[in-house]
Amino acid sequence: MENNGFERFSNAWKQADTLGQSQKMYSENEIKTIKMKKSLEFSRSINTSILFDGALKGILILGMFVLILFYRNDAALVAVLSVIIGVSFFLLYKEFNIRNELLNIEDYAHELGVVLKRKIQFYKVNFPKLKWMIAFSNSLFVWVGSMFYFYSKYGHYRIEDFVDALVTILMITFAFGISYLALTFQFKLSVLDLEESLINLDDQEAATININAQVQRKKKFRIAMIIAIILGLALFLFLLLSYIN
Amino acid sequence: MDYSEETFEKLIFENQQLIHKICNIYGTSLADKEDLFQEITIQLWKTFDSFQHKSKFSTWLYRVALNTAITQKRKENRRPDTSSLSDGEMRIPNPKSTETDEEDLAALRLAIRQLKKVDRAIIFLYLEEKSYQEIADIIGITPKNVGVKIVRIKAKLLSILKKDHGK
Repeated sequence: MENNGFERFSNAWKQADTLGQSQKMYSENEIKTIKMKKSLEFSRSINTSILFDGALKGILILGMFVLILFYRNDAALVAVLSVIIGVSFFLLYKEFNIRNELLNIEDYAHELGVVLKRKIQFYKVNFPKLKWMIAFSNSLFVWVGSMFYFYSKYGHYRIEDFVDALVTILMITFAFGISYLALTFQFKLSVLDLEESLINLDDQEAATININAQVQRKKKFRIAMIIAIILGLALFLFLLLSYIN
Repeated sequence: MDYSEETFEKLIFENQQLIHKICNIYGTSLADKEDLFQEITIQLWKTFDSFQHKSKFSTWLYRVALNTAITQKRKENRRPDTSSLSDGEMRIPNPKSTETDEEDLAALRLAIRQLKKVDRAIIFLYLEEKSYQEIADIIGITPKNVGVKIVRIKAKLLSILKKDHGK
């Protein structure tokens, strides 16, 4: 019965004579123009994030060179700025490598399962790194901005007491955290979309991937707990010894 | 087959109806469908060299087009599209089809858009009269799995059609 019910719709589909759903049929010239354009997927999302972050890091690196001139008499600050400039260049290099890797995964001639797994793998391997790299830029922006502010107002970097230091650290952490959370949310949505399609395609394969992911998560959690316990013990011992002495 | 740009453009021109059909079941708005058509054309061009008779032309075309549509993150409209004609869809009256056929077709398209992305691809290929083996080659699952999924998808579609249109 159900089959007969569907037959009627199949027949309707066969009878259809619908013009191109974009309301037009493209000419060969128009197709030629389209194929020369850039991939829209590539120009979205990750690529946009990396390009914007690259520009921001570039501006911050220039800013830090200027700060080195301003604070040239403060050796410690100059040293810190130099290290951060080096780190920023390194992160820029890594980000553009990830961007290039994105180009290579967009080969849709493979089987769907292969394409989905490659994209999921790409996101899961690279996005955690990208989150840190991009969030780092945001916190650096706050710190570099504060250094310019202090120099313009006081002529030196003004951290005079515990409260000054605490406020600066909190602002930097806040900038980092907001950016990190936003990117985490973006990443989760992209991966969920792909994983849903993989589950839809073949339940067996998806179940295996999910199980492996869970095992990895549990491993990481155990390692993080061990490190937290060791650091906690070390801090406790330090405080205890300080109290005794 | 000659793998020149002109050959590619001619092939896409001749087969663009198929690409438009795929854009219609995956795209929501007119702009979205045009974007998807562009993206599919670009991806077909990128893989044209590697095609080289490794599979049938139609298998390659369907595979790249459907993979592109399925794996691209789109703004999915979670609410069912209740309009009888989607944005940008034109229909030329077909002397062979009746009014009932046209209503059924519109209802079927709306129902297909409520399916998950992979299911849309499978039922689309089934409606295009591809064999289970061909569907399996395009999607990358076994023919047996195709059979099981088609039964499930048809049941789901009939349930949606009954609920939305009383058909």
